[in-house]
Amino acid sequence: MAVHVARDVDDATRAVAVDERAELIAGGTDLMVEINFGRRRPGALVAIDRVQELRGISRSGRVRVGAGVTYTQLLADDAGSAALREASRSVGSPQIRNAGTIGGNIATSSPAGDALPVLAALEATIVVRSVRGERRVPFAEWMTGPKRNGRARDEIIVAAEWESAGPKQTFMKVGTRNAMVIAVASLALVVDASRRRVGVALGSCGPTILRADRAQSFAAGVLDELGWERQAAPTETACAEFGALVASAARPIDDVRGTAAYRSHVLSVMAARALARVAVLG
Amino acid sequence: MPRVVRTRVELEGRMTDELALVEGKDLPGWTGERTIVGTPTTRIDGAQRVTGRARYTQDITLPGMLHVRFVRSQHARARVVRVDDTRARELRGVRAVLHRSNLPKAPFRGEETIFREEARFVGEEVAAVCAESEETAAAAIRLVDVEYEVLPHVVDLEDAISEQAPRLDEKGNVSESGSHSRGDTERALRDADVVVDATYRTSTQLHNSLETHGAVAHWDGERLTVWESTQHVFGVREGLHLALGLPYSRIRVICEFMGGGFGSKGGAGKYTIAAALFARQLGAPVRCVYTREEENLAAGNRSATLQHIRVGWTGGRTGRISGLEHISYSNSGQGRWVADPTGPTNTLYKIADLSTKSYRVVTNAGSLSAFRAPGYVEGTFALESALDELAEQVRVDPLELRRRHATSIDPLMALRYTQKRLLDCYRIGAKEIGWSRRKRGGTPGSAEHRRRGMGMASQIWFGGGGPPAFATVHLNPDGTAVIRSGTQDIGTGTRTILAQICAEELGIGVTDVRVDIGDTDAPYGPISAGSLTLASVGPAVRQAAADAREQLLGAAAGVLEVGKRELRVEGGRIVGTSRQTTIEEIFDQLKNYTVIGRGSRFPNPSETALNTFGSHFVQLEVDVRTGEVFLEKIVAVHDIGRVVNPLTAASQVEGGIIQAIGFALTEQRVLDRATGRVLNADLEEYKVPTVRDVPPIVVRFVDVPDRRANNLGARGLGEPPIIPTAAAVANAIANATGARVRTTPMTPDRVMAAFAASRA
Amino acid sequence: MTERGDGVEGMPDPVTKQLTTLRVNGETHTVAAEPHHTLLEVLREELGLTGTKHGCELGECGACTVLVDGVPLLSCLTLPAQVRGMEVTTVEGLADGPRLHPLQTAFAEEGAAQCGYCTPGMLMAAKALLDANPQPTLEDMQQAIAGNLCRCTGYTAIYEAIAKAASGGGAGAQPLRRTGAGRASASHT
Repeated sequence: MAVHVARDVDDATRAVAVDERAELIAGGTDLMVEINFGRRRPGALVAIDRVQELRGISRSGRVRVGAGVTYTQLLADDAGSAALREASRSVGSPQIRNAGTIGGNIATSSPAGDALPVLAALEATIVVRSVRGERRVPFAEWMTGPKRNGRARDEIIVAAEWESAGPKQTFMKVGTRNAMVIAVASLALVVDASRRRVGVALGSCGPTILRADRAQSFAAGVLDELGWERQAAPTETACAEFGALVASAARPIDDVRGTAAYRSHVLSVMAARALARVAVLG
Repeated sequence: MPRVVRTRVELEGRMTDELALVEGKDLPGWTGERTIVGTPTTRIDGAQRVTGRARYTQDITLPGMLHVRFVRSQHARARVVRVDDTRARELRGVRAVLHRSNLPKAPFRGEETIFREEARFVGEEVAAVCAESEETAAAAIRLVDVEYEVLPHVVDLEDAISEQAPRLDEKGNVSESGSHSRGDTERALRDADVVVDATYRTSTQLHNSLETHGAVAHWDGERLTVWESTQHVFGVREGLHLALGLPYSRIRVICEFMGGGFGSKGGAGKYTIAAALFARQLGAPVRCVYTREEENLAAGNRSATLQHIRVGWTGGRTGRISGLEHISYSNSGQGRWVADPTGPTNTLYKIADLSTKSYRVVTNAGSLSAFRAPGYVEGTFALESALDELAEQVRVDPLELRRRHATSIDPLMALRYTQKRLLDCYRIGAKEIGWSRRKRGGTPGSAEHRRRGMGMASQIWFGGGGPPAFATVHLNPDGTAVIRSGTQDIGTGTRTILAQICAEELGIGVTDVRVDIGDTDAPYGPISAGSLTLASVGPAVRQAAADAREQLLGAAAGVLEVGKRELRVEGGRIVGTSRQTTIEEIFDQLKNYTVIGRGSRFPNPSETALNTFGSHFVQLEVDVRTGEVFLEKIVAVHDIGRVVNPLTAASQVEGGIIQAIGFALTEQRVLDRATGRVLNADLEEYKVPTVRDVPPIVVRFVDVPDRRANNLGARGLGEPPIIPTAAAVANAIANATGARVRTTPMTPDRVMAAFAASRA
Repeated sequence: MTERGDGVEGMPDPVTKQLTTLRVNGETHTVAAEPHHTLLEVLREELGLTGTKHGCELGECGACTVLVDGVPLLSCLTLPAQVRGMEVTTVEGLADGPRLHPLQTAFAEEGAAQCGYCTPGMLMAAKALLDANPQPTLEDMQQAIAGNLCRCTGYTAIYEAIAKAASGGGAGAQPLRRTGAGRASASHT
């Protein structure tokens, strides 16, 4: 196994194109586990963690976060998404946040990936590039199953992009301890007041990141009445109904981290709290 | 002259009558103030631990060292019909493969070899590969072809109890392992005004020492040297002696530093035997160290339990407990013993009519091994939860209920305790937590959806130690000393407390004492388990130091031409009525003078009970919508007699509590019933508490020397702090919310289920 | 039934060691190692720096934490090739010759090392914290070591030691133990 440390994206795309045994490595927090456990032994690795081009955050109108941006960087440099900050803070440990990248989260596509519900709720676009050119994939079409997505082997995730959605957004999760928590259930809620749009996405509650369409429409109705730009709390009943609608969108299972029943229950609680929280943000 | 005395020896509650060798007369207890013992003392080996110089078994590298990996059964129960190692042996770098059909006889824990004909849990060792690199060994185990005859299995405790379960043992899966009865429990419960009848469950807890189990074996043609991460170097030697048939004189076991054991590293393991067999066969050093996954499959665990308690009450708010029945089942896996959860029930309170029974249940899950206060953690959770349920029903303050049933006599053996200050623990703890602020039904929490509550629980454990334990103290010509004993420091600070005891008795400074332990070439030291290291080895070290001092003073008296009685050692100097001199000067005059003091542990006083006591108080908040529990404060008060080192004692308590928090809230092995596989054999899905899961912990000791116990007045502290915490947490959750969680860990989903039950 | 081992003959690949140049604790080393071997393995097995520990092999215990250009990373999830040209600091590089780093002194004095197995990783995480933030709050300290598991101490002595090192270790060191070293609300809900 040879390791090629890529200088730039073009170098990396060429390197994966010419060697079909080659796999990409950035922070290594997922791939190295597979290698250490002998579950994967790539014929070659192309390391993209030092590619500067992948490490930038730009906020000129549209937000663009390079795939190589680490969670630590997301906490230090504001990417204009409070929910993404909250999600980044809850990822693993400092060491994992120093290495792990948003691109890695997108590439691994675990239903428990903390950044993913946020990207889904923001309706982000994933930008991938290969020697064949660049593709832009809406997040909704990105994940095809647990740890499966539409990336071709020779494609490199270069960035995630979204329209800035304003301050009304949050990420919540429940785990079984207080640090290094893998979500038992997680939720991102984005209220884009200027576009009159509500985005709700659920993590660890199905094979992919799920959206809660009925809950979104319901919340939009609530906000139509309350006023999108205002900082006013919805009624408890409205929050509870929103919670129930979110929970009904989940397709949870029983697994080692928790039961399906608890996941549904806690989703409804988190969703109600999330709506109450974001409605008063401004 | 050494002489033999008969004595009763206790290890984790199991009593045996043994012979002990002692010498001379035991020392009387210390009187008056001590200057070194009792003073917070920094670990004498701290510098090694913080610089990376401390050498653990995993750090041992020897030239030409080979590596072992095991082929492990993927079936919960299967007969190993045939092992074909052809493909594995053909792999470059593989040096040898051992399995049932080519293994030399190697008796291990009552079986003929380390590879059984029937694999009885997923992860059981089936064959071992020795190769030039760990990676090659890991690749080679996947080239070993095994023919299995798969047999029906059962892994879950309650499944194994049921009639439909496959019979794993000729006598059935369930066998009685212990019982106790006094008075007439049935009648007492029948006549009681109120009876709490409840079932408690505790989950399997995995030790997860940060350093996994492992050994490095080196055979030099005549002698076997084994470095092992162990709590008992002499136990490892015994295991190797039995398995390899080597005389003791040709086995040396060393454990310099080790990364945690918590009960699971009590003797030689299959990895030890395999490493030694390969080392002897191949004439090369051999390393066998478990991966984290192997650790969680095959290194043992705290048994899951199912416990039924019925406890009655008679006489309203001024009444008493009238009758208690405790029936417990433990998932021992393939283990041959039971860590008895009914121990605390038998002894903690004055209850006239009491009946307990404990059952061992065999399953195809990994075996139990001792885990810090085995049985007592599980049993105390059930007992102390049940008493709170009773207190709630009869509207008596839970602390008052316990005070009302205090006993100064061990109710099981009807013997007086050497010292019991549990009531002091209650008093100190109640004050520290602010028990008077506790309200029935809890209080509002820090947010609208949170409730706050307080709970407490009591603790009893052993920890008196006893013989055999030996030490020598060697005086160097420069006035420094070396302690030699075959005990080991498993992280608790043994080196430091032994140095303190030696320095105190000898009259020199702690930093002038070196402690050479963790080596079977030293005088015998017992297993570092059962909270007995200090109370067993400490008195022997004190005796050896006193012996060395007397020899030194004798020599000094001769050199100085004064009576020996006029001299004493103080601050490293020989002090007399008229003059003082340094130890060095005495040695200078005598040239090649050698002082070796010898010490042995004398038996404990007969006709007394020797136990440790304590109580924990917990304050917490519960999110009543999500079921999340937020610990706010834990107060731990323990009666362990004299505290030798308040610094290491406090960290023992804090460490015990954090493992208890794991047991209470986050830790559980999850098994797939259909396949018997462990679904969380790693540190990602098996949730050990992090720093953020630990609330402020207040540690207090009663700290009154137990003059009857031994010449130090000290008892052990290893297990006491893990025992009462989980029950105190459960009781605090119930106080806060009215929801009684009867299963550990008390995860958010279980807390929510308990809410639902309490509302129904 | 016979269970054929799922291994493939000829595995692992014929050993092709790659030369890698590493800067570790101020010294340059050129090591020949198999390219998929982790930084942890290279440190321990090729350079004999066994202070950095194996704990879990999947990035959950923090025992293998080292600093790479001052940033705490898990050496079990890092390939040597990825840190080429960067400065790697291990626990062996913490002391200045015979003089212990203030964190080492504080850890030893406060009893923050019990069995000591997690200590090297803990020290490196703490060093990164203090280098970036010489006056950390309790919350900062808890954040910094949240990825380092300790099974012995209960953590209290550890952040007490970090606080002591931060304040210069003098008499003014803030006594945290038993005086309410609270954990910040970690609720994500």
